[in-house]
Amino acid sequence: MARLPLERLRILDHTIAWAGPQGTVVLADMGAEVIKIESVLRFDGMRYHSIRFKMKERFWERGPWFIQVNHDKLGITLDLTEAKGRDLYLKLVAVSDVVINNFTPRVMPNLGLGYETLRQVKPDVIMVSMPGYGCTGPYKDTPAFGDCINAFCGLDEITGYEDGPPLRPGIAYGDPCGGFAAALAVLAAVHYRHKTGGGQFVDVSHFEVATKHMEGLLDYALNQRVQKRTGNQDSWATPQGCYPCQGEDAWAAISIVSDPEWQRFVRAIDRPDWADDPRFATHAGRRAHSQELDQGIAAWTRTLDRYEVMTRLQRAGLAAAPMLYPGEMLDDPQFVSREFFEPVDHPHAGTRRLPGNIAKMSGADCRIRFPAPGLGQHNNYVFQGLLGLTDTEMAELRETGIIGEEPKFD
Amino acid sequence: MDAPTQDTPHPGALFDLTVIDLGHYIAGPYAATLLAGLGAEVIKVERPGVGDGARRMGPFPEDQPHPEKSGLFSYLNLGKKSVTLNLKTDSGREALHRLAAQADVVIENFSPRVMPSLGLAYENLKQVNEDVILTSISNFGQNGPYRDYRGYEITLSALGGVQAEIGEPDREPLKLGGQQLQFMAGLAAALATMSAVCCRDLGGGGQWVDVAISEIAATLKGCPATNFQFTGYNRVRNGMRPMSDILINGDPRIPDVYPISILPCRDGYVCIDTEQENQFQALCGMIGRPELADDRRFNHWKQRCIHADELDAMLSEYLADKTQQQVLDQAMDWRVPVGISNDMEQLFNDPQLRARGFFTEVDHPLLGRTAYPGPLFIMSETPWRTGRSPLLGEHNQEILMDRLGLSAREIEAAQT
Repeated sequence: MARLPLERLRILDHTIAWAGPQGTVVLADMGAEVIKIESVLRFDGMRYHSIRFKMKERFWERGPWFIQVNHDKLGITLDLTEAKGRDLYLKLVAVSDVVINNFTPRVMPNLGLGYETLRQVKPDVIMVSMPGYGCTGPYKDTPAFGDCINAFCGLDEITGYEDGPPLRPGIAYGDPCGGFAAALAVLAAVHYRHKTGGGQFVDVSHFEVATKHMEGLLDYALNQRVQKRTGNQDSWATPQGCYPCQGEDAWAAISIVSDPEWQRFVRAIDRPDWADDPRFATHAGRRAHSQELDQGIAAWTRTLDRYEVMTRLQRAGLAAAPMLYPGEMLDDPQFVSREFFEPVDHPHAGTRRLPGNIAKMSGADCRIRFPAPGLGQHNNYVFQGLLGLTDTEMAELRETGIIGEEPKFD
Repeated sequence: MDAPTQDTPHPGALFDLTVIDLGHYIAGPYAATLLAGLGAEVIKVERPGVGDGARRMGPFPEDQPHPEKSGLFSYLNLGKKSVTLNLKTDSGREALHRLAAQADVVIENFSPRVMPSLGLAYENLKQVNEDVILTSISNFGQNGPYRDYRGYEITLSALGGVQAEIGEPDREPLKLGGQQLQFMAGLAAALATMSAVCCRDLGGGGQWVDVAISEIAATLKGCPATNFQFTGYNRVRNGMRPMSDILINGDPRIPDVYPISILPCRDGYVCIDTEQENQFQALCGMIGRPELADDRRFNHWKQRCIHADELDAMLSEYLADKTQQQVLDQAMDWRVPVGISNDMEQLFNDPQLRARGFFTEVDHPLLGRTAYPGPLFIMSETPWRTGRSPLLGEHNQEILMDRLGLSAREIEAAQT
């Protein structure tokens, strides 16, 4: 029978916001049993992010961002500031494989739940810690804010028009960087433990992962040259840009990377005059006259629907694509054909189409299995099913607020 | 390979794995170099004479092109071995089959037609190695109407929703600086590959892992795509200011939280990221205007959004004579979240990265000593491995002759 890739892996997931959950959701989609740990006093703020009106019933179960990155996870609540809560937690660690969190490095030790303590109940435990800047260094205690990491990692500085200032990248880039890297760290450690029996501690910094993607550092290392903003340009492509199409604020991106592509391009857009123009025959020539070319291309794209631009140019073996707003991706033929956005029924948020797994795996169907958990939704399964607590014990825990299924607001 | 003993320098978490890297340019090679950093043996298979196309891409020292001196190639191929095989010949294909027979993972990022046309589809590789894992990275995926479409960073950004939120409202939308989607796809592919490895560890066999760069882009924009389904509203590009997930006063340009912006100071740009009430109050104190916290224009999150221009004016007044470092120091004192917009020189010298020993110096016979971004993360028992990138075909003797037992004539036949 086809098994999900990570079917036997149990992960205790303390991560909140986007970074950590974006990593653990991949593991969950791949079949791991990911137990998301919150508490009734402190729960994942994404549950109500971008919900400004706290008037709807159970509004903390409706946050779009939360729903999007927490499917296929089990949800429990557990107050780790209470001794009884910590006791239970250590029992849970003893039957789990991995613990992952994105707290700053002193939080777990301050709770008496640092790596050394966890090893006492589970000697081969794998602990992954993923704060924004890493577990050491002058910034180790600085909470991660996505926009700040965008600035520090250099992404802001290289994003923008050639003649303009840095512009917002539209993504808290450190978050998916840190999330994917942390998930990779989990699996590398799991593989190593499978071969040798040994666990370990892994320190993941969102800032460092994002920095690894800044190839401008290489030009600095070799030539002490500082990368500038170049708008939509890449040095090896001419012409390249985002061109206006029919309709309001409609655009298509086009990229021509070689002389043979240029020749096919001028035929596809019916510009024989350009085909014969020696000024445009070479990459350097096209670069020197890019403004004229961009104007001419825009005159062509303005007469067409953005999808038509793609179809015509792709037919000629050229790279072009419509610029889609995020909501428009839901209906794009390729995403639809791949079933990338999957309809998921959520008891309080309704049916939404959510991004699916980062890869299609031939060994098993890794589609989304169940929606993001309600607060403490799986308390019974975890505490009774995995740890064997009795009904009486559960009642007492609920009464003392160590576990629960409703948030306690101050 | 045996499990490591205490005396040997640690060979890494993936010490027992062999990876064949058929990748070129960024996405495939980056995925493979991450596995090399984790300790896998990575054998890069390149076209004879020419090699990976990235060898022809700069930056080069002093801008002098040389196939062994590409900064991009050397970074993306740290820790690998190189053999040259012409996969369009029978000998080349046969040699690759023999390599695959002994490997755990094969990584490639060709257009989807290529591997089958070379007789190297997953079904073919399975015949020589039942448990092989093939990881394929393509622009749009291994199936679907766009399967054979061309794609580069800008067009993938466009389709993947990334471009929609970058740029000034009255100008064209922009791609992110650099090649972020290529790197993210490589990282995602390494992650998906390891899912397959862990599956196989427990008896699940091998499989084909299909990663689409456009889907990775869409994942990065998953939150706005989901939000759209709740609000019916798409975020739009808004220059230096954040977009909004809701409409305030019917104007999409009014952000839904403020101040969050990138603003100029005396010697560069800073990002101020105050999302919570207490952070805004601290900011008011920091700029010497504590009374603003009670000002009717700013004492509620919605008010701050509507009066963003006025807030910017006050912040700009404060920032005009401060350096990035001064702003950062004050922000630390006042606990206001602030980032400085680092250029590549500043990033290279960043104190947090330097304190962590993040940049790693690597010696190369032709490039000399170069400092590269280093470990993806720090593992306590199995430290990151850093080895230099290979010369073209550097390991033909070691791998093709000594390991596979090909004769000199067979190796020659696989080159032409």
